[in-house]
Order: sequence, then structure tokens, then C-alpha cells
Amino acid sequence: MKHFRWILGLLAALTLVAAACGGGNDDDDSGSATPAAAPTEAPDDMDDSMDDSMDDGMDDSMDDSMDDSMDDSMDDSMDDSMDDSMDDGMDDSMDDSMDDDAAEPVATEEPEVDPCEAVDLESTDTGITSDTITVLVMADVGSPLAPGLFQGSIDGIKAWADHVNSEGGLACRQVEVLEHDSAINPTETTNGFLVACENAFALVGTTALFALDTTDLQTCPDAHGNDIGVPDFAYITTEPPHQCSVVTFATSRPNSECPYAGSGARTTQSQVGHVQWLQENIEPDLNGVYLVPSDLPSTIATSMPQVRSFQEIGVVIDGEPGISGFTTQSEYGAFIQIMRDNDSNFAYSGSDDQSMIKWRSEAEAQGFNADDAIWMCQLACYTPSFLEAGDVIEGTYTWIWFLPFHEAEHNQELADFMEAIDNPFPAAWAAGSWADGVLFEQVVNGIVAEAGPNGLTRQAVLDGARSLTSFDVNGWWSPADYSTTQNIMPCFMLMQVQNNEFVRVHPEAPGELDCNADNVVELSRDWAAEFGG
Amino acid sequence: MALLEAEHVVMRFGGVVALDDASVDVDPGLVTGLIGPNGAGKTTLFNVVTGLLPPTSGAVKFDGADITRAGVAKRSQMGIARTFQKLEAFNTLSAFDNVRVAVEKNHRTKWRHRRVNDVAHEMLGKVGLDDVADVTVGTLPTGSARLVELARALACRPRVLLLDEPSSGLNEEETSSIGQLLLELVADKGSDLAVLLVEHDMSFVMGVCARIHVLDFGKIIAVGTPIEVQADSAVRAAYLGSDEFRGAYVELDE
Amino acid sequence: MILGLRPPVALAALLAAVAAVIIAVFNWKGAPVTSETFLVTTYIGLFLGALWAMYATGLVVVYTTTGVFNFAQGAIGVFAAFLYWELHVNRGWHSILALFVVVGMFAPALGVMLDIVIMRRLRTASLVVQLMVTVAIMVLLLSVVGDIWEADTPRRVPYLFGIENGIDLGPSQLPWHRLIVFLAAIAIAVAMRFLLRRTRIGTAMRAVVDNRELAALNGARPNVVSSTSWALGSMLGALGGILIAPELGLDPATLNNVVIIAFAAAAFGALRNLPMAVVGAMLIGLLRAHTGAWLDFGPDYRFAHLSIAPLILLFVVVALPQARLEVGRLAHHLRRHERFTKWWEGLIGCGVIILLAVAFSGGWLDFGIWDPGAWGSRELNSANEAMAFALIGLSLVPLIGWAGQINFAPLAFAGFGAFVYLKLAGDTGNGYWILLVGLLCAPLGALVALPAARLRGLYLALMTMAFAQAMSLIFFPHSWVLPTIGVGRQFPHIELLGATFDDRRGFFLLMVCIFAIFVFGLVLLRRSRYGRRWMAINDSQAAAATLGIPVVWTKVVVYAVSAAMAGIAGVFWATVSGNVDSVQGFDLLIGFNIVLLVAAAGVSIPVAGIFLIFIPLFTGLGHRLEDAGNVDFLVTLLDILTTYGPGMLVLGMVFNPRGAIFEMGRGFSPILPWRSDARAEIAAENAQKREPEIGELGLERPFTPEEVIAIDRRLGILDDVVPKEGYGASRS
Repeated sequence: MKHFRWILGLLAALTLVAAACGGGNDDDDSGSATPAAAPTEAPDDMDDSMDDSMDDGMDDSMDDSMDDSMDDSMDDSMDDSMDDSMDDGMDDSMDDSMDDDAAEPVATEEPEVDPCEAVDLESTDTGITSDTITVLVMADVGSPLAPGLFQGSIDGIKAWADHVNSEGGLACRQVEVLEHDSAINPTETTNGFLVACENAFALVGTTALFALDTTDLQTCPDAHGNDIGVPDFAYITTEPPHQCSVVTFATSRPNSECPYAGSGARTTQSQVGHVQWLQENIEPDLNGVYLVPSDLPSTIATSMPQVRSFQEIGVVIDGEPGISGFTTQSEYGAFIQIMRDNDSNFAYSGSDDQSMIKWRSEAEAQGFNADDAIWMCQLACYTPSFLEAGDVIEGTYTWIWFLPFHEAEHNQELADFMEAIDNPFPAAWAAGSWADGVLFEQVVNGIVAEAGPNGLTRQAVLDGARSLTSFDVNGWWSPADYSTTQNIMPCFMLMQVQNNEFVRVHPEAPGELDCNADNVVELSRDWAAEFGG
Repeated sequence: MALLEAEHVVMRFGGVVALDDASVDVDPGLVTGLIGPNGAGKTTLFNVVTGLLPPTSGAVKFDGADITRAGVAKRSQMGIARTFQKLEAFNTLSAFDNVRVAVEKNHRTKWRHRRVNDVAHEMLGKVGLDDVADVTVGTLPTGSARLVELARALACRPRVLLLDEPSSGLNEEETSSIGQLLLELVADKGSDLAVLLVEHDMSFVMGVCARIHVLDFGKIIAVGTPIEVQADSAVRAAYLGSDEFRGAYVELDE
Repeated sequence: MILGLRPPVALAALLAAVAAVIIAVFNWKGAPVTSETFLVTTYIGLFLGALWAMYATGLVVVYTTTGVFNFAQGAIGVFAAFLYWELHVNRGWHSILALFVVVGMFAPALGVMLDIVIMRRLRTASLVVQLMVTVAIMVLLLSVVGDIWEADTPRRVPYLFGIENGIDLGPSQLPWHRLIVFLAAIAIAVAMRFLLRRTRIGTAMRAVVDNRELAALNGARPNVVSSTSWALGSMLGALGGILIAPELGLDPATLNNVVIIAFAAAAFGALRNLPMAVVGAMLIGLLRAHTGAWLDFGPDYRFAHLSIAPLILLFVVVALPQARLEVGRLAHHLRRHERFTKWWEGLIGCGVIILLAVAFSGGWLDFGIWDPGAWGSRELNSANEAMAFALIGLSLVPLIGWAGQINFAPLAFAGFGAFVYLKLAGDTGNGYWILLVGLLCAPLGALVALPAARLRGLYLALMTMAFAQAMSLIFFPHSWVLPTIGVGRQFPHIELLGATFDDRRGFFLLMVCIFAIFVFGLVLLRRSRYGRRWMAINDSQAAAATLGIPVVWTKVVVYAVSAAMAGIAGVFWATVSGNVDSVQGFDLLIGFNIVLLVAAAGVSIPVAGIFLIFIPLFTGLGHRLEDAGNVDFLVTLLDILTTYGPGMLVLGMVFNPRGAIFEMGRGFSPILPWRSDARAEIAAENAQKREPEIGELGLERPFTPEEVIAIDRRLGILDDVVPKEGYGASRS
């Protein structure tokens, strides 16, 4: 009995610890900054990735000869040291094969002489040693009720790091990945910034919804004692403090003006090209319903500019009802009624795939003829689970700002991604975080080309990213200007679900995006107040 | 004039009639008894009088005023105090604090700790619980807890004291000292206290009560002095076969 | 009587109707009113109502027959829905087979298991323990679901009968699925009503909750009865979960939240009246569907139509007649002596708190094999958040621990405190306003408690839950309450005593000092006449009332005190993160977790409050531990404890209602030099440990329950036969 009492006491104490983290926010494992496993690609993977990297600057005949020489050198080193010293084996074989080709002119970004040979690598800033660059990927993964939310971001960055390391690393160093779970929690998100500040060179692939305070991110001191902040290559930025952070470079470009005080009008750009295409090719007089995800002020502020921009180009909005996760499918019946009352021919969801499925299922349940309207959704519907809904979502249009995953043969970067991520239909945030990796890679390579591998500092990375006027993830994504804070991506491509597959509709040619200059509409309103409810 | 009167009280629970036109009056300066077999409605009557149950019909009057609609706390403030058949002591508090809660509410001694403590000690002393003042009531034997309830009720400065089987759980010696205490209390001209006593211990009842009401199946079947009641044929019939009336009191120590 | 309603109810109903009309007029969307739209909206409302009615039926059946209000009803539905998805969608079983396995086999088994392992033991437990245990089961079930079915991919459950085909209603149609579900819900409610009112087993089931012993004497078998009702309740929850999952998608939190609507429906039937509960569910369904179709609430009240259920719950609580004070339901004996903390012990405790905080955060500790070192920004950041939660938790000590009242809305009060501070101090960060925050939050606490304090404790629990829900749906999303987040801090760093607490360590120590002041205040309060009075009310409301103590008013005061403390804590909570999002943070589940934790810790002893300090202390230490490396197993352990710990601890209350801290304190107190009483108690207990043998009592076998009752009757200590009053009954 006495022992039991003490055990109970201990359990109580431990539970208090546990519950400490925001009353069950389950973030105890979130801070576990465990370095990602060292790259352990199988040899045949190696071949492929080598192919890919070489594609950039070499013609096909080169590739063939490369493959031969590579295979030889690889076989030797690989067979011996596969298990215990992958890294070394790879580096050696890489260096060897690269040396062979050193005389040949290669891609513009690749220095003609291997810069790593010439210099003595130094620890130039926090997170950089003579042989590693440590980056931190932060994503909302764990919460007691939604574990695994943005796991794709972490997978994406790990895949990117493996890919980069297999190609010889970055700035002559191997990339190491720290993970941080921001747990859909503001405090844990701030913790991620603090961990990155102390332990990582940069944040890459950030996918955190609750970055409500970015002070620590923007004022983090570098190794030289200057409070310049940590470079943050994020995928999504939902809150103004994150959108307007001067050290954040988001690959899904924030479309709104910075700085923003939190209330009042805000100038915002919206992509309307996909609707213009509908007007020109399918139905000139669009009128219909736009579903606004109204759970958070930030989701409203993302959707309302789009609604108003559609109106700007002549779409009549019959209703803009708000929906939340608690809206039952049958309540979507009210939206069907709006469409019936107004003879709507256009149904656009600013929310996610599940919401679109509910809407279309309810339309079917209500006997609404699906062909009477054009159903349209955005990136959030470009998911495998959307297709799982089956026939009911047939014909739904979806637009995205990058080449779809099935067009890997039309873009090398996409092919690399698809290969590394090893999933026929990966999550969009995996792609977004990979794009962050490529952005970081490009900035770093620029610095190395200019100042050598020892020129790599946070300041240099910030300067490099701020002067990047056009970056398109090596042709995979719409180009965007990173030198200003507000710059939406001008390009899009439109797909339609046909026979339970996403089929390209516009532009017709695979591998192409529509980059028409009038795709973007700019408006200035107080967006939170625009929402009708 | 009677200090407390229950007039034609009817209490129904669904189909069950617990009190059927029961009238009881309690005079100051006396101990009045209320007896009857189990289930006769004695506790129900107490609950009606103290306001815990609203009667289906009938009235409760105190000092001439109709208090049928008054709340429990209001009645207490007017001077109606009680103990419970099933213990309702504050189990997590000490005996002393049980009494203190009542003193603090009912004596004008705000913020004067010493005075409160004195009164509380005095009440505990009256029921003979000085030595267990600091013991948590939940750990006391049932009999002592009953006495705590009694001290607590006394601390309310009652004008009417309703006691629901105060002797249950006490030994003979304690029972007789409680009887003595009750007689002393009502004899005190200054307080003019009235006591209404529900009891199974017939010798106790007969010893202290000046008048007795007999309740059976919710009806008052007899009222009178102990001698009159004992001679009443209806009472004898009601108690036929009951151990209680023969005074054979079974006591199990807990 | 007006239309069969008591005047206050009639008045409340009238006021509600008038308010509804005014709201409707001012928010009219202007959509064309066609009979078709009206028809469609109505059947959608009735269908939603039917889904909620199914949950509510389960709640009412279990409550009427066991006296336990099952907060885990929704979680059972969540679990069943996920299991159904696993069998039907993931494993490809036929829907009927999967439905049978989940509803017909798994759910009753779960119900019976819950009854045997836990619920049976709750019969005599206090309301706090009863409620906390079902809440703990809810949290545990949801955690298990989250662990088994990770949220990395959305899941969908198909409609049981498909919704493509149905009855033609002009341009629209009524799918068969919805018609069947509606009829099934009605049929189930009628069947349950029949079972409870017209059958022998039903009579026995209802009798058991009123008087278990008496029912047992009359031949009912209480254990069989309670297992049966838990099995039934669990089956209804499972069926409800499977049927509502296609409507909402499989998200544990969202699905679980549905149960609040069922709570409101059950409350509409005064928790015992099945037909009225079904009517309540339908009413909520209709209101929700029709507000969605015709009204437009604007950006600030965008969740108004979702808050219908909590508002109905509030209305019901206001309209219910005052509960009678119950007597004769007291658990008689405490096993051990209660002791009050002396004021100087409290002072020492506060000193220890501050010392510990300084030592932990300053890195004074050195465990020999491991020196955690001073805390960095990250440790302090987490510790600050945890510290704010500890402060909020402390506000529950007088409420739950002393007065025995439940409050599921500590975060709503904290949020309100933050709001008040925001309006008072603006962007100055002037900390002196915090005092006024406490004063302004107290009336809110009183206001929330006032209507429910007249009723039994369960209604207060439901009321606070409805309040929390209503606040997070109507109040906090309002742009005036919490301005949209901009680039700066909504809540500037606090300035107090001429210093700006803009560094994390300073702010941490400031909160520690506030915590210590709170703890000392509580120690004094508990020794005061108010503390005594609150505990008296917890022990016996009836007795307190007969001493002249106004019970309702006293409860209201405790809520006010608790709300004031929570409000002050809320200022710090908001200032920790600087920006507070209207949705994040007011989550009901986080509130549940805080309440669970405080209840599990066993807050009845004021010193227990001190232990809340270990929440922030171990948070910081935990981070340090992670950084020390090679402690994956510890981190995993911590992870498991985080997820399951509070729930498991609360389940422990079934066996040890005083809570864990109490036991810990008993182990610890004999060490203190001045606690000779504790040492004596332990010694006495050890001496007494041996229970007397049956033979020593002169008996050949223990008494059977029947014999115990017979003896009680003989002794005259069995209550007069008084059927326990139900609100439904007293209304008629």
C-alpha cells in the first residue's frame, strides 16, 4: 500500500509535467530535435539522382558515358562500404566522377572547378560546421487529436536533404535536418524559432499555422552577435506576423501588403486567371456561390480577396456563406438552395477537399443536376483523398500554381521530387517544403559562387534571398519575386477531375503554366469586415 | 399560543401520500414529542417544517406568521434549527469548525474571532464534546457526530429546535444526559425555547416530553401527554407488534 | 399555469421567442422564401435533430437508470465511427456486417466493460468524481482514436443507405437514408420510453437509481440493470457516431463536439424525460437549419448558428425549477483526519515555491550525473505558458476542491480577463489594471453561476460548458473583443513596479510571485469563515441551509472568486504569447484537461495548489532533458503520460477519490519536523491495519445486503420512503 502511494505520487508529478505543456497540448515530443538519419540511399537510387543532376547542364550523350563511368566507380566503393560508411563512400565516388568531367563546361551555377577542394571549410555561422549545414524544419504535426497533420512537410525536407546530400551536399557540406513539431500551438511555434536560432543555420520548409509572434525569429543573433534573425524559408504563412516577417521567404507567396496593423484596409493580390479562362471558354456569364472557410480570421482574410476579385472580373456572387469544420453535410443543403434560387452556374469552394466533397454529395442528395454548374476548388482539393470520393466529384475543376505530380517527365525538379518522396501522389505541403529546400539551395549556391563555401552566413543568405527577383523552383512552379514582401505567383494551370483522375485542361500542353499578366487582380479592403457570414 | 404550527399539511410524492392532513403545534418552554412507526412521515414533516420540502397543501406558521413559502435559510434565521436522522454533519470539518460555521452565521460577532471561538466551545461543552473539538467529524463515531449536529443546531440560537432521533447511536448514559440537556434548555426562561423531538427510544420520549403527537401513515392519530398517548387505543393498534413501543431498543455499536 | 408551463418558464420562453424574432428580423438574409426551400430546410433540420436525438436518448437512458451523466457518450460515438470506417472502408467489410460488429458487439461490450470496471464504483462517489471520471474516459477514448488512426489523411464514412436516391419533392428530393435515420431515431426513442415505463426490467432499471437497496429487496439485480443500461447507452452512442460521421467527416474533435448538442437536448428533457429530450434535439436541429437558410449574422457573429445548442442549454438551466436540497445522500465516513494548513506553513510553502522556481530556472540544480543548467529562452517560453495554465488551474482550487462545484469554463474566464485587460490597459501594458481585471471578472463568474446554482451540481457543470462554448463561438470571435492579429503584439509586455517584464525570465518570476501570492491567499481563505462555509456546503447543502447559510448565494460567491482568479491568470496567459487567436486557446478540450488535472491532483487540500507549480518547473526541465540527448525512452514515456496521464489519474479517483496529491502529501508530511500529528496518524494506521476477522465479531459470515437493510430498518435509520424527485415529475 505504501509503495503504491509513492508510485501514485510519482505518476502525479510526471503527469503534471506532461500536462504542463498547455494542458495537454502534447508537445513533449515536439521539441525532440533529433537529427535526421544520415542519407542511406540504395545504389540504384544513386544512379538516378546522378542522372537528374547532370541533366541540367549536359547533353544526353554525356549522360550515357557518365552512367558507365559512374557505375564502375560506384560498384567498387559501394559494395565495400554500403552499410557503415555510406557518406564517405558517396562523397569519394562523387568527387571522383566529378573530377573526370571537370574539364567539360557544365551548368552556370556549378562552378567549373570544384570549390570544395580549394578551401579549408570553416564554421561560418550558427548551424554550420566544416562539414555540415544544419537546417530545421518546423511543421504542425502533433496535437492530441490531429497527429500527423503536416507530416508531409517534414517528409519533404528530409527527402530534399537526402537528395542534396546524394548529389554532393550543399556548399561542400552535408545537410542535416532537425525536426520541430509546432503542434498547432503558438508557444511551440515560438519554441521552434528559438531552437532554430540556437541550433540551426536556417528554417527550411516551415509549415506552422500559429506563428503569432515572430519577434524571436526576426531578432535572433547570429554567430557574430548581430540581431539579424534566422532565415526562414517557409511554405505557408497564415498570420500577419509571419507574412510580414523580414526574414521569412514563403514559397506560397503571401498575397497581402506588409506591414499590417491588424485592422483596416489591406492591399491584396488574387489569382483570377482560372476563372477568366472559364469565362472565355465555358460560360461567359458566371454567377454562383463561394464558400468561405470562416473558422479563423486568417482564413477569411485569404478567401474574401478572391471573392471580391471574382466580382471585379464580372462574376456575380449569389452568396458567400461561411463554413466551418462543424458544418454538417446536410447543412450544405442551404447552399444548394441558394444556387437553385439564383439559377447559379458556378460553385467555388475556398475551403478544402472535404468541404467540396460534402457540397457535391449534398447536391446529389438534393437532386441538383451537377451539370448545371461549374464546380471549382483550389490547391486544397488536389489530394488523393479528394479522388477517393469517387463519382460524386467528377468534373470538379482545380487550379494549382505548379506542374502537377503526374508530369514528372516534363520537369527535372519535379522528377527529382517525385523520385525522392517515393509517393505517387504526395501531399502538397511536401512539394511546398521541397520548393523551400530548392530556394534555400539556390540562394546558398549563389553565395558559394560569389564568395566561396566560407562566405555562407545568415546575413549572406538573407541578402541573397532578398535580391532574388525571380525564382520558379527550376521551372516546376510559377515564378515569383522574392525581393518584395508582397508578390503573388502569376501563373496557374487548370485541371479537371475526369474519370477519377486529375486531367490537365489549361494550358493544354503538358509542362506549361499560364502566366498571363492580367491573371492577377489587386484590391484594397478591410477583409475581415467584408465577410457577410 | 403555539410558537410553531403545521396546519393540515398534505405531502404527496406521485401516488404516495406521506403526510395526510397532519397538524402539529409546538409550544415554547416544552419538549414536544413526535412519534410513530417507521414510514409514518415524521422526517417528511420535519422537512416540510424546515422548508426542505414544499408541502402539497397546508401551511406552516411560525410565531403567528405564515412561512410556508419561506426558504430554508430564511426559516433558520427566524429561529428554526434542526438535526437530521441520517447524518448531515460537515464531515470534512472538525467538530469545532462544524459549530463555528453556525456561530459565524447566527451570532453578531463578525470579525471577532475570540468571541466566535468562545461560543463554539460553549456549545460543544453543552453536548460534552470538548475533548474531540479538533477531530474531523467524518472520523467520529455516529453518536458523537449526532451530538455535533446538536451543538451546531444550538449555535443557531434557535427558538424552535427540531431533533430527529438524537439518541440513536448513543449509549444510555449519553442519552440521559441529552435528555437532561433538553430539559435544561427549555427550562431557561430567557430563551423560551421550543423543542420538537422525533424519537424511537420510548423511555427517552416519555421521560422528557410534555406533549406527544403520534403520526401513523401520515395522519396524526393522537395528541396528548405521555400518559394519555400510552393509553390511546389507536396508538396501541398502530404500534401493534412493534418492538419500539415495548421499549425494547436494539442497539448495535458501530 | 400558462399553456401548461409554470409562469417563470412561460416568461422565459416568451422572452426567448421575442429575442429570436428580433435577431431574425435584424439578420434577415433576404433570400426568397419558397415553400420548397422551407421544406428542404425543415427536413434537414429534422434529420440533424434525429442524429442528436440518438445521442440524447443514450444519455437519458443511462442517466435515468444509473444516475451517471455520461460525458463520454460522444467519444464512444467517435470510437465507433472510426472502428466502422476501419472495418467497412479500410477492410472492405459489408456495411451491414460492420455495423453489426460495431453497434451490436463492440459497443455493448464497451458499455458493459465500463460499467464493471468503473461505473459501478461511482454509485456513491461525489458528483465531482462522477463527472471527472466520465470526462476522463472521453479524453482517453479520443486519445486512443488519435493514436490508432492518425490524422495525416482525411477519412470519410459513406452514408449507410446511400443518399443518391429518395422521395421526389419537386426539384429537390428527400434521400431514403435521411428518412430512415429520422424514423429510426423516433422508433428508438419510443422503444426506450416503452422499455423504461412499461416493462418490468424498465421499472427495475428506474427503481435501482432511486433506491438501490429497496430495488434489490424487490428482486431487481442492480448490477445486471446497470450493465444493461450502459450497454444500451453505448450502443446508441455508437449508432449516433456512425450515422453522423458521414455528415461531418472523421475528425475526432469535431465529432466529439457534437455531443454538446445532445447535452442541450437531454437538458431540454430535464435529463430524464425522453420525449422532451427528442423534442429538444429536433428543436435545435430545426433552429440550426433555418437560421442557416434565412439568416446572415455578419463577420463578428459568424458562428451564431452553431451556438444554438449552448444557448438552448443556458435557457433550459434558467427555466428549470429550483432543485430541492437533498438529504440522506451523504457518504458517511471519512477514513482520515483533515488538517488545515497553518498560515505560517503557507508562508513557508510560498517561499519554497519561489525558491524552487529560481533554482530550476537559474540552473542551480545538479543531479550529479546530469546537470540541467540554466534555462534558455525555449525552456522559459514553455514554462511561461505552463505557468499561466498553473495559475488558471489554481483558480479551480476553491471551486472544485472546496465547494465541490464544477467549472468547465476556466479558459473562458481567463479569456474574458484577457479581454478586460486589453480594453483597460490598451497598449500601455500597465500592470496595475490587473487588480481591476479581477474585480470585473468576478461578476461574470457570479452571473454564470446564478441560474445554475439553484440546481443540482450537474447542471452547473453543463452550464459552464455551455458558457465556455457560447463564449468561444459568439464572444471571442468578435473583432471588437480580440482585434485581428497584426504584426505587433495585441498584449504588450506588462509594466509593473516601474519595470517592464519583457524578458522571459523576469516574466516567469513575476508569474511565480503572483502564483505564490494566490497560494498564500488560498491558505488564508481556507482558514477563514468563508473557506469553512464553502466546505460545509460541499459536505451538506441541506445542513448548511438549515444553519441559515444561503446556499445559492454562497456558491455564486465561490464562482465569483474563482472567476476573478482565472481572469487575472488570463492576463498573464495572453501576455505570454502576445497574440491570442479567437479560436486557438479557448478550445473546450484544453479546458477539460486543466479541470481534469486539477481534479486528479486532488485539490481539496490547499497545499495541493502548490503542486501545480511543478507543471512549469518540469516543463522547463523536460526540455533540458530532451536536449541532453539519448533520452528517447524518457521522451516517449513523457509523451504517453501527456496523452494518457491525466485521464488515467482521474480514473484512479474511482479508487482514491481524494486525488494523488493527497496521497503524496501523506507520504511527505511526516518528514516535516513539526508534523508529529502526521507521524502519529501513520503509526496509528499501521497499528489498526489488520481488519478484524469475521469470527472475532461473533459472526459466521458477513451480512448480506438484505440483512444490512433489515438491520437498518430495525434500527430506524432507513429514510422514510420518499421517491427521489425528478424535475420532470415536479414540473407536471
